[in-house]
Amino acid sequence: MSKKLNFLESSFCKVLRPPQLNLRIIKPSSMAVFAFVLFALFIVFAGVIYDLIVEPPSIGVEYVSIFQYNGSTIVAMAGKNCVAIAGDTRFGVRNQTVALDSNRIFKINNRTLFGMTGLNTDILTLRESFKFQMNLYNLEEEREISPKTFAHNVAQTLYSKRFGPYFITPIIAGLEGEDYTPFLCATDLIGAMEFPKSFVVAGTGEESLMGVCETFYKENMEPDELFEVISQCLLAAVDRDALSGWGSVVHVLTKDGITTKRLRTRKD
Amino acid sequence: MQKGGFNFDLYQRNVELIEKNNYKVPKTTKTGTTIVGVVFSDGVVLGADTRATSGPIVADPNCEKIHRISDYIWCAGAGTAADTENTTGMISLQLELLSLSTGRSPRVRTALTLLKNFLFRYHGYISAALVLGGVDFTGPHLHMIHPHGSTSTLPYISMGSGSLAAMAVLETGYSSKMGEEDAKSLVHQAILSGILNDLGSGGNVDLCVIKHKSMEFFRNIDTTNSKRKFRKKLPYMFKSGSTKILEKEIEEKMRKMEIVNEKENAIEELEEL
Repeated sequence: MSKKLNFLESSFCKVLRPPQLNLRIIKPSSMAVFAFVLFALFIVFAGVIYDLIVEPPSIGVEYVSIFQYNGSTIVAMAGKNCVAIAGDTRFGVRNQTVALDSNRIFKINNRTLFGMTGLNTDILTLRESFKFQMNLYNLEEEREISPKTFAHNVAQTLYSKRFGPYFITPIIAGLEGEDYTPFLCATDLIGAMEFPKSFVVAGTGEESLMGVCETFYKENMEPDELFEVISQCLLAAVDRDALSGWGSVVHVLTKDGITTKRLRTRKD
Repeated sequence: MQKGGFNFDLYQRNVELIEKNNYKVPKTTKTGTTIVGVVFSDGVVLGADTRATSGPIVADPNCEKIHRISDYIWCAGAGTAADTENTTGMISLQLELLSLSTGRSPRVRTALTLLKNFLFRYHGYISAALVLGGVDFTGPHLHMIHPHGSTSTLPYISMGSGSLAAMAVLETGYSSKMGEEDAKSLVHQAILSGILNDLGSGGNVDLCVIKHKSMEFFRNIDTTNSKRKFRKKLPYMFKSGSTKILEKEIEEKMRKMEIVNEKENAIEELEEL
C-alpha cells in the first residue's frame, strides 16, 4: 500500500499541487448577521409586493382605448316624422359585467332624446350637468329647448374641455319645428358635430352598426317599421361586440309621444 | 356656471387615466381633406371635399368644410374638425363685433391677423390648417394659415392630406389671366384629383365663388362619388313583430279621457248608498 501511495505521490503530486489559499475564518458579529438577514427579508418582501400589487400580471388587453373600459353601443335612426334611438344596457368594468340595467339614453323634453356612450363616470357627470343647464334654460326662456339648440349646447360643453376632454360620444335625436322634422346629431369627444339624415352610431359596437345600418336603412319609414329596423340593427351589432349587450332598450319618438320597448339580447 | 375659454379641469384626471394605464389616446374626428383656393380676375374661388374621418372610418361622408367668416370672407379648414369649426366660428364672431364697432366692412387681412394670432397662442395644439379667401374693398385676397400660426399669401393654394394631388393640377392649369369659369373648373379638377388619389379625402365637391359684393355657394356640385352603383332596388323588409319585446311602455303626450265604468241607473245606486 505504502509503495502505491508513494508512486502516486511522486508522479501526480509533482505536477498537480494543491492551491495555496490563505483563508481566514470569518466570525461576524451578531448585529452584522441580524442586519444581513433583515436586508434579505426586505428584498424578498419588496419583490412579493411589487409582483402582486404594483405590477400584477393582468388578464386582458393592454394598449386598448379608454372607451373600451365600460363598453356601450347606441344607434339612432330617422323615419317619417319620427326618430328612434336604441342602446344596450350593460354596465361593465373591463371584462366584468357589473350591472344589467344601466340607462344611457335620457329624455331632455318631449321633442329631444339624448344618448351617450363611452366612460360611464363621464356619462353620469354630464347627465347631471345637462339636467342643470336644461332646468336653467326652461326657467330663463320659459319654453322647451329645440333639439338643434341642445346639440350645439352639447358641442360647446365638450369643446370647452378641448385639452382634457370628457370621454364620451353623444347622440342627439329629436323632432324639430312645427312639422316635426326628424333631427339627428352625433359629435366626437371634443364636439365636432355631424348632421346626417339617415342614422348615427356610437360606442364600442359602432363599426358593426355602421355596416348593418347602411344595409337595412330605408328612407321615410313609419314608426313600426323604424322600430323593427333599428332593433334588428342593434341586436345584430351587439352580438358581435363583447363589451355591449346584456339587455337593450329602444325609444321611438313621434309627435304623439315616446314608446319605450325592452328587447331580449344574448346574455353573454 | 361655465366661464368663457378653455377649461383644464379634467386634464390631471385624463393624464392619470390614459398614460398610467397605457390606454391609446382617443381618436378625434379629422378632416383628412383636400382644400383649394384660386384667385381669378374678379375674385376668389374656394373648393373642398366633404369627407370627415375618425381613424380609418368615415365618420361623415358629407360634411361642410367651407365656413363663413363674414358675408364675403370664407374659410376652408383642414385638420381636427372641432378645431376648424370652433376657430372659424370664434374669429367670425370677433370680426363681426370689430366691424360693428369700427363701422367699416371687414377686411380679409383683419381675419388673417385674428386667426394667426389665435393659433400662435396655442402653439399648434389647435390643429387647424386654413385657406382663407375673400373680396373686400381692396380687392380679392387668398391666404393660407398653418396650425402653428404662420401664413402665406399666394395666387393659388392647396392644403390638407390631398394637397399634393391638388397642387399638381393647380400648377398645370393655373394662369394669371383666368376668368370665373376657368377658375371654377380648375378648382373642381383639383378637388377631384384629391378625392380620387388621396385616401383621406372623398365624398362630394363643394365650391364657393366670391366676387365683389357677391357670393355663390355650390354645395355638392359634384356627387359622382356618392351614388352607389349596385344598390339593391328592393330593400329588405322586416315583418312587423319580427323583434321579440320583453316590456313595452308608452308615454303619450296627449292624455285621452277613458270611460271606465258606464252604468245606466247610476243615480239609483247612489241613493242606495
